Amino acid sequence: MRRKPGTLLPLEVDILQAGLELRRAGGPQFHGFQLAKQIADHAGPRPLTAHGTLYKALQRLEEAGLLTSHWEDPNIAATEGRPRRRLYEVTGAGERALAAWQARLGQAPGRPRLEPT
Amino acid sequence: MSTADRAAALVTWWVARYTHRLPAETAERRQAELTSDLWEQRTYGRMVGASTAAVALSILRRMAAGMPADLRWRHHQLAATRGQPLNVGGRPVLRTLARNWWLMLAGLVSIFEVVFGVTMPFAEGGHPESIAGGAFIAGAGLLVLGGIIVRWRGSRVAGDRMIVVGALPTLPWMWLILPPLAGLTVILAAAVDAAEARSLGEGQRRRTA
Repeated sequence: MRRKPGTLLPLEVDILQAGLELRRAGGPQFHGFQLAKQIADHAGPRPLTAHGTLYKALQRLEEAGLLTSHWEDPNIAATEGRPRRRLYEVTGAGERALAAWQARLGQAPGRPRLEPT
Repeated sequence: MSTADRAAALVTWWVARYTHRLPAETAERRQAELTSDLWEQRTYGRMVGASTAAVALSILRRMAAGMPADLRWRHHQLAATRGQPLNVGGRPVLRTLARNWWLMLAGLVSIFEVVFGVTMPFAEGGHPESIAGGAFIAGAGLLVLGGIIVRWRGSRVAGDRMIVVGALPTLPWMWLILPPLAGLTVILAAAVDAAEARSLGEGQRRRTA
């Protein structure tokens, strides 16, 4: 799908917003399920984002330089007895892209979402 | 093994299928991310006291709604691996037709319902019941047509839902074979499309520049 430069899909906006919300809450890095949960929690009665859609969007945003990601230290996962997490972080370019997109829509960054979700 | 564990095992199986024959690094990353996601969701479910059936349903819904994206992702990964452009071959018109084949089928279902609904009272002697039945079927046809228009005007989920509801009256006419088959195909395609649109957040709002 071809898109105009600077255009973000609704899910991509949600991902960037949720990532920044998690950062403000003290966790700059987040994993996939945490992100799906954050998006669902802030969108009212909305189900968790589908696996395929979420991870495809994360990859797209990473390729666009709006997110970075890395595998966490396997020792941490082993200590906690769970699978290793892929940790994502919103980049400066991601923040700027979101702010620019919100400005285009007349929505100031940091304000609550205008749309009922 | 709980119901949620079985649902997770099904997702793991599905991930193994659609990552089959992809480059090892790409496949392993997707598999590991899903393994982590499934573990986190089940753990969270236990933490908040959700029933294992509810967690299983949520996991299965996430899998089903993400299937179109999974398949497109696989297609893109394979094309990238082979060094092919993503939109291989075909003119823009043909690509549009390939993407929207089911909408053309929905158009045919709509025409069938309207024609059937209008002609039915005449064929059955103009009884009040046949007039009401004909009006109902023609109305369903117009609902499908409305759904196609609503969809093109930007409300993808709403349009898909109208198409699903409008195509339902084709199902009971099993002896006609083609109309119910076409109706069922349209219903399934519209349901999958709506699920994908919802998971992309298009059902809740539409952002335009």
